[in-house]
Amino acid sequence: MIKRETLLKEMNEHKRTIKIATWKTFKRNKISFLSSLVILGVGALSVLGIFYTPYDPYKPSFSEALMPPSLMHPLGTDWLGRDILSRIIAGGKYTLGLAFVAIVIGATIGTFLGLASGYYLGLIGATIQRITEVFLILPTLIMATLFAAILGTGLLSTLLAVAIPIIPVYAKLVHSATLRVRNEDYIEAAKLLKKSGPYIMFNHILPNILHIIIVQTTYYMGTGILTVSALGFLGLGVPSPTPEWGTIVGDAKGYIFSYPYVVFIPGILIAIVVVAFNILGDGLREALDPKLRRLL
Amino acid sequence: MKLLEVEDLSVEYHLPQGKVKAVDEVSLTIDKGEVVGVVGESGSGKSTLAHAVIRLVRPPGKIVGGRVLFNGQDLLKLNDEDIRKIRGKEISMIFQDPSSYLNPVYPVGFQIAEVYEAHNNTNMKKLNGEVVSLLKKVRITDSEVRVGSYPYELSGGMKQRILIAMAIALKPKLLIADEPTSALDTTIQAEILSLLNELKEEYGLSILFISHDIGVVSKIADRMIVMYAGKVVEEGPVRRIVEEPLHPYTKALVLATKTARKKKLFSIPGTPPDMFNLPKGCTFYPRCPYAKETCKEWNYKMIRDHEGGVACAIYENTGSS
Amino acid sequence: MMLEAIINRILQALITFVGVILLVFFLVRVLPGDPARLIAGFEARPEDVQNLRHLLGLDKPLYLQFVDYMFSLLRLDLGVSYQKGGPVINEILARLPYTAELAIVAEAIAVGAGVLLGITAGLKPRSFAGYLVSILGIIGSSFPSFLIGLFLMWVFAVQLHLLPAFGAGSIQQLILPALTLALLLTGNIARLVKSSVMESFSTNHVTTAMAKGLPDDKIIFRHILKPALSPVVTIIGIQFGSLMGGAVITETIFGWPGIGRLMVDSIFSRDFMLLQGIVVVFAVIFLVVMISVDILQNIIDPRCKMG
Repeated sequence: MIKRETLLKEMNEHKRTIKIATWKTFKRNKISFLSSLVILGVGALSVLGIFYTPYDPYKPSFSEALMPPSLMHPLGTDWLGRDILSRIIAGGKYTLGLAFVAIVIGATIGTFLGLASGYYLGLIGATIQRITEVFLILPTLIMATLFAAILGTGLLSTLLAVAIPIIPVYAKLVHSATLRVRNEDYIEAAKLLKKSGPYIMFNHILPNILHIIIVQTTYYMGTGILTVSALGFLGLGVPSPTPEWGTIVGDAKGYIFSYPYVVFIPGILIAIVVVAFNILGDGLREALDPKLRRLL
Repeated sequence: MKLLEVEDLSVEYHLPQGKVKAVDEVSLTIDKGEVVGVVGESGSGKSTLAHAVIRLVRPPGKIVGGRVLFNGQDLLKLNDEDIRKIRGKEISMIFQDPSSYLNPVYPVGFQIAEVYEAHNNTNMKKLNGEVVSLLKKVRITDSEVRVGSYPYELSGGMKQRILIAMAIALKPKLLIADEPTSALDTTIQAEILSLLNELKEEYGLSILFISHDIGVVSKIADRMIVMYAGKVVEEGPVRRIVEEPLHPYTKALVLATKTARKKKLFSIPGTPPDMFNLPKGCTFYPRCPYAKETCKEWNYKMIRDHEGGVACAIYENTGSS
Repeated sequence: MMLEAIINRILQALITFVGVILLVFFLVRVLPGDPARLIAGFEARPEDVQNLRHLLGLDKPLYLQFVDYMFSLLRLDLGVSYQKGGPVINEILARLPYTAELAIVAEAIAVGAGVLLGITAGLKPRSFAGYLVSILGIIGSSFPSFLIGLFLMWVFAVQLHLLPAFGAGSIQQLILPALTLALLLTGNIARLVKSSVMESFSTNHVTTAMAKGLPDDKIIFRHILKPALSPVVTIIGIQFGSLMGGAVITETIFGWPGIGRLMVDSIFSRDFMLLQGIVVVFAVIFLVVMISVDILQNIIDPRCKMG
């Protein structure tokens, strides 16, 4: 007879082994690892930007307008004499932070909805599904633009404008994942034990679809960043003079003929971070896919 | 001159984990009108052997030695265009899982007509009639309708008949059948076997029949070779192999088949060989109930008599080698 | 049987369409600000504003307004633009052809280049084509569309003076915006085709084709490429959303007078009838594309027959 304690100990050992194997597989993929470092690096810079920037990103200084890169101003100054490097450091927290919060909110709500509609297949499920489909007709950017139109510009508005269109995306994703998992034996067992719906959803279904959610979220971080900056670029997102990277480019585009730095540097930075997230997503997908993972 | 003479054929697979000799200096012959069976477990190399005869071994596999003489001509030395002309016309092949071996986006009639097209017979009007009568020949009902069917609309047995139709369309001299019945139900298996027998009689077809099931092979073959870990371990007339098997492995195979019919299961002890790390000496040694210490150093040798041969240390001093 | 399935899809789509209209309608009405006052102007007298409100039907209960709107939709009447004064539908129809032109040309370039690259890369994964596909894939899915557009503008218009940067009407003016959009899409198509071809290459029916003695070119076209290309139609449908989203940004950058830019303009001028009308039109377009892709998919790949 196997003792309960021994069984539990073996289960925990097994979980630990899986965690180690996952981490090892992930580390093995050097590019993924590099990408996560890039993200951490840019993230750290943005956090720094909360407390300190070399110059005041908002204060104009007309005498110093449109200066090319120099020792004093490594990236030069913009048309109002503001140090571009400082603006970019200061702006990171808006572009990255807003995207992050928006995706997390959207993912959380969407996951709840997806779990519910996938588990309770009846009227509730069908209704949620219908509504989700309605929201998914229009592409993310256009939905975000619509919400930005309604909510106006500003931090909270942009946050909501990006978060809300993401909700149905997750709802659909989690819904299909739940459908695939709900017929497994351990769910049947839990039902027989008269466990409640929410208990089953969170303790049995969710852990088994978590790897899908994590991987998709990594990809959608990139989407979030692109959407936040696209709104900023159009003038519908975080408003000037706040140095959100998309907003900077939108304001600067008129100067492309004479002064391309302001136009391209924020854009390139965005590209680098999004590429890093996509590569990271690929790496995580390999590491977390139970079928692809090799236990050491 | 025999129709097909395979001499010391070797095929290697280059995998990330290492090199595998899937077929190790295998020789066999097929006469006109003769059916030769090749029997072995998965990984014995029998399927690779079948593919190698018409040079269908795809990377990471590679033919690395030997000769394949078809009517005296070495197929391994032909250029691509010449071997292409032989495939489908002189030698054709049918495969194990008919579902994956048919193109899902074309009707089956079209895929059969492709055989004619490949060998320059492209009179489309006449072709339809030919294909329909071909379908009748392989015993497919409603053949006029079925010509336009897509593979997904047909059952496993019917799909296999389509493959057979493709293979006999141009009346080849040799048909290579790679486990054609393994993916089918037993009743369908019997039907396909009887169809093959019929066609063999009618066309004077020679067949190279591959299977892991000695019982199935014994129903259609005249002679049989037994493969283990890429090498031939025994060959001979079907009757002798089934009634008086010589090699310990063959004995085990025959025993397994007999007991399966009596519903008592006998399985060969031990595990299949690790092809990356074959044991020195006799490869069957780890699982052989007759094994002696000397087998560990035994060099592979076929010991022949007038009917066939066996590669086992036990028979070393009998017959000739 | 196929007709039945199509009708089914269309009915489903109609229900979803009504849902979208509902959504947009109520969202727009939730806005702060009084449209009547905006039109009349700040100096107007309160009675005039009231009259105008009555004229526009804004004093009726919300659900009645919605019903009115649905009926007018049936007449293809999308209301009157607050700012421009004319019917919304006219404004949209004036600009729709520009966006259509841009979208079609961009998609054609993307599919053409993407499929060619994808096939080459699929048949020879380690070649230059293979690496190009990976890079394009990264650019298309990760780079902000405004970066690509502005970069192309900078290189070709500013530095090289080869192409005009703004406006529409000539082929030269079409090139940069179309190229921008195409770059966004090509990578994905190429990647999909590449992996599809690679998968198709090692399928068993290719072995059968070889065993039949078929020549290489026929094997490649019929047995490798044809089964591999059926996902292309689906991906065009899936990408259509990104295409339109990208169009909004691209039209803004290059001053291209399409409905993407019209949408942005309508937001800035607070012309919500126009915005509403544009979203409705977008919804119709997307629904039509969705259904068309489903139908086309069935024709190409008989395995996916509906019903």
